[in-house]
Amino acid sequence: MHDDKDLIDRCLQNSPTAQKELYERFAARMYGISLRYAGQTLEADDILQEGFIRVFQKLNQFRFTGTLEGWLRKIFINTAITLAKREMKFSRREEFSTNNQPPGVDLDGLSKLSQKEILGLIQGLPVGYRTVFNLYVIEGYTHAEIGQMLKISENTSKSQLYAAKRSLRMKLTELGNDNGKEHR
Amino acid sequence: MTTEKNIDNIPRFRELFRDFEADPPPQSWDVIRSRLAGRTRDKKTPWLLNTMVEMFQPMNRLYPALTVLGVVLIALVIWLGIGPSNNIKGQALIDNTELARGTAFLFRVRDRAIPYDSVRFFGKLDLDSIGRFEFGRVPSGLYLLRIQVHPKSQFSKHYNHGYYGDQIHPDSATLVRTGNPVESYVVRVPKMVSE
Repeated sequence: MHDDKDLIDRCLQNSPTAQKELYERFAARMYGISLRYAGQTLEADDILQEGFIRVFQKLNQFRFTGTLEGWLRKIFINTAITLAKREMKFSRREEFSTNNQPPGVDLDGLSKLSQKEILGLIQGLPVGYRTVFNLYVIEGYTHAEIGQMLKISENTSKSQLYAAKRSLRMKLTELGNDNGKEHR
Repeated sequence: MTTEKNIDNIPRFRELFRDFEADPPPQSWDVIRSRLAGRTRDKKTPWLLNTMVEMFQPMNRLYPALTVLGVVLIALVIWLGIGPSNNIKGQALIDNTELARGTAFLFRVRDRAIPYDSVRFFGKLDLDSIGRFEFGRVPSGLYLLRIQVHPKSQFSKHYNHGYYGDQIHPDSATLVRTGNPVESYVVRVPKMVSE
């Protein structure tokens, strides 16, 4: 924590060395977050750059009540959401239609896939599904919280999650079939 | 009751991606650094300018609306800048001698039928050493031009003022119409008639 304070103080004095040090310390993990929320690598690059700009802009607001990494994480998730919301406006309306079927999708096939393959599956989801999936499944937010963050209803959040899982299952099935054909 | 474990392998996703790391592109830091350097430079510029620049950043939700507004405002400024404007220039004389000390007044005539009763003051200028004057950026229209002799002028004993058309009374003055930029209006101040 003491190291963090020193690093933040130096960053607040606009020290390029300190800024680079902070970047190097967190870039890999924040790029991991960016990749999950982005549909393409270029979008992930945008989130990474915009996220760090926001971090340096708002660094004086960090109150040392939690970890620096946790604070950065929130900023990167918010940055990703901002970009996602913009993309959602231009996406197809069907993405936001509600679906009342209960979730119950078995994704056990995941254990057979590599991390890179699963990341590819997540990135392949439409932006609305992908954002809700990340927020609920990986970050652990509730549907009520997601609703507030994305300015959608709780039910829409649930249906987006359901649709995301259904889409993932279909992709897993396709992958399984493809692998099966290769083995034959 | 369902738990996270039996729904959709959520713990597996969390385990895989909660601390997921990936190497960012090598050029990312350079881009961030140059943008940060730009922002530091911005701090030296006035607050209002900084705020305006900030509002036009692509991350800002007002970006599209403000961009359109900005374009409209720029177009308006350009239109006003190149819009019609005129110069009214001339020289004040007294008996063919340049009036070195005096003031030129320009009044806009609103109603041609009652020119004197409808005038509105537009501007005034001190005459130069050879009696010349020039009003710039004058909107198109009709004007009344008056020359006032300075009280300390050598001519002030017998001359007080005159209107274009060499008249002492405004209702008999000749009105000046804009649109002839090369013309120079010569005003000969009439001598006061002693009673």
